[in-house]
Amino acid sequence: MIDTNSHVYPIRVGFRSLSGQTRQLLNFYFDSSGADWFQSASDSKTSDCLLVDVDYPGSREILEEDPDGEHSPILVLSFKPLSRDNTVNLIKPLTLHKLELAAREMAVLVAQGKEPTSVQDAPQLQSVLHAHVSTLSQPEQRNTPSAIDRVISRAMGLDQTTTNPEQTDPVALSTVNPVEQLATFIEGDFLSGYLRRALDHATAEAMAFSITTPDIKLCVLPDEARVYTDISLKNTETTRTIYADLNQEQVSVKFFYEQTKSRVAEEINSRKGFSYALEAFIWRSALYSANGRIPDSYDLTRAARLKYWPNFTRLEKSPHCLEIAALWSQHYLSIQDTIAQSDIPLRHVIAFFNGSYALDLFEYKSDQEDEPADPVSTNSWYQTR
Amino acid sequence: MNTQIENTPDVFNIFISGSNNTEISTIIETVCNTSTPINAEEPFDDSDPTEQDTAPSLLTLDENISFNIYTTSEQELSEGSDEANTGIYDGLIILLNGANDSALDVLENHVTEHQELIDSRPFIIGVTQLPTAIVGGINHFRQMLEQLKIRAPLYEIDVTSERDILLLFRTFLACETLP
Repeated sequence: MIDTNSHVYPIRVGFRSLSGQTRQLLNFYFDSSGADWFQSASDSKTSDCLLVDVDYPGSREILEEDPDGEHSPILVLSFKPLSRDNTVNLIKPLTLHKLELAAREMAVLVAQGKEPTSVQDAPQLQSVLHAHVSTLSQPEQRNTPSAIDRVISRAMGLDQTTTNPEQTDPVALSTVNPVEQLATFIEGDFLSGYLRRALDHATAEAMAFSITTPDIKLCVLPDEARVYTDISLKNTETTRTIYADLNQEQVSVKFFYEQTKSRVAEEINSRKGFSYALEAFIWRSALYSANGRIPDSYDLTRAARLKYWPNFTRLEKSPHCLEIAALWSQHYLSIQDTIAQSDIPLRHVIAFFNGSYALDLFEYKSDQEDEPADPVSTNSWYQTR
Repeated sequence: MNTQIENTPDVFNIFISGSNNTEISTIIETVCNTSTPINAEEPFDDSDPTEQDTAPSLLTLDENISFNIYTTSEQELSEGSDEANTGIYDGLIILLNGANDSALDVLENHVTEHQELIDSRPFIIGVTQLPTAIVGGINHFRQMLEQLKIRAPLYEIDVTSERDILLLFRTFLACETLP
């Protein structure tokens, strides 16, 4: 809920270098659902910040006028984030959620610029500042992650100190193990958990099954390695809710025996729907359900090794996935060790782990053995390095 | 005195082995910049792989990394060619035809043939023409690898997909550059 009594909101935005269509779109948003967050400023003198579309001709010159971002904060509309001081990135395509996040971060920048007077004068703002960045006025903590970093960190289930290692105090890094700060989640409460349990049962019994939640209906045919859904999964923004935690009463799982599977397949094929490779769907569900966290039952110190490589030609590739796969296929490593032995950001390792874990691609080192349990060959390059 | 330091691109010699020459040719056509022999004007020494009948094709991944791709035919394989084991190759890619009932035997032959290379260098397996109806899909081939006691990157690929083919080479690089 927005604190409309705050001196921060709505943020007055001066439009600079913007196409007419984008300007109309934003005006409509500012006059409707975004009115609590933003307001169009009549001119740049009365604005709290400027909005610049960097993909619009002439916009670069405006940014170059103030290369250090010392003047008004700038809301940069673009397809790629721009690294610049006193700037909030608003990545296209625009969504209400992105605008809300941008408003929150811009409020902090605006408040920062007015801090000498507004903090003293406005108790509401004091609380806003305290809630968002209580350290803003402390010079030695200038590298504290921005508000948006914290929002993303929370969404990723990470402590903010682990999200952006470059901005973290190196001394703190040497004493705090970021892996230990990882958030966990109860896998069974999410779509990936329901999918995994149902798949285990269906595979053992040679059955098909369906899962119905408030946001998606899906039918899984393990024999054909296919998943059929009633909605397209291409749009990440609109489908993200299907991977949120589920109330058990909202979920229905049904199994189909051998004699009815063909009828199920016929029924699916006769309807409009969407078909996906089962492996890709499991991988995707795991990543979105986990959202940067690890299953609460998983032991971070447990040494694991890739039994099979993920089939990356058919899966959504996460950053550094090949490097992580190479590392994890050669040695038994815990998540902690994998982080320690590579320069790869924690979140990418966690993403890879969750996908591979959901697909059961790992094998685990036996606690009783000193040497790695190795049911597979030891005579290939992948074992001898 | 001005000293100019040039970045010498890394060039890797990759051997592609498969039972279907047409597929190998398609792969090369899909991703290679040229099918003409490289360094053709330079004299060959005894160990130069360009002495083969099949000249290497050049794949340039970026300005710093490129691959010389060498291939063999099924006939050469059955005749016991050992050219792939001479130590001149940096990696091996084996192509399996997913529609072939005897894919397991084919894989075993290739592995036996290239055992020395497999033991010393990264190798990657691509499964082509994997029928969607095959029970278990890619898992079927993973189990085959397990039977043969082989652990290697295994991908389902479309030989006409540049993205799929490049992934084979990027995987090689990930393994090659492992610390």
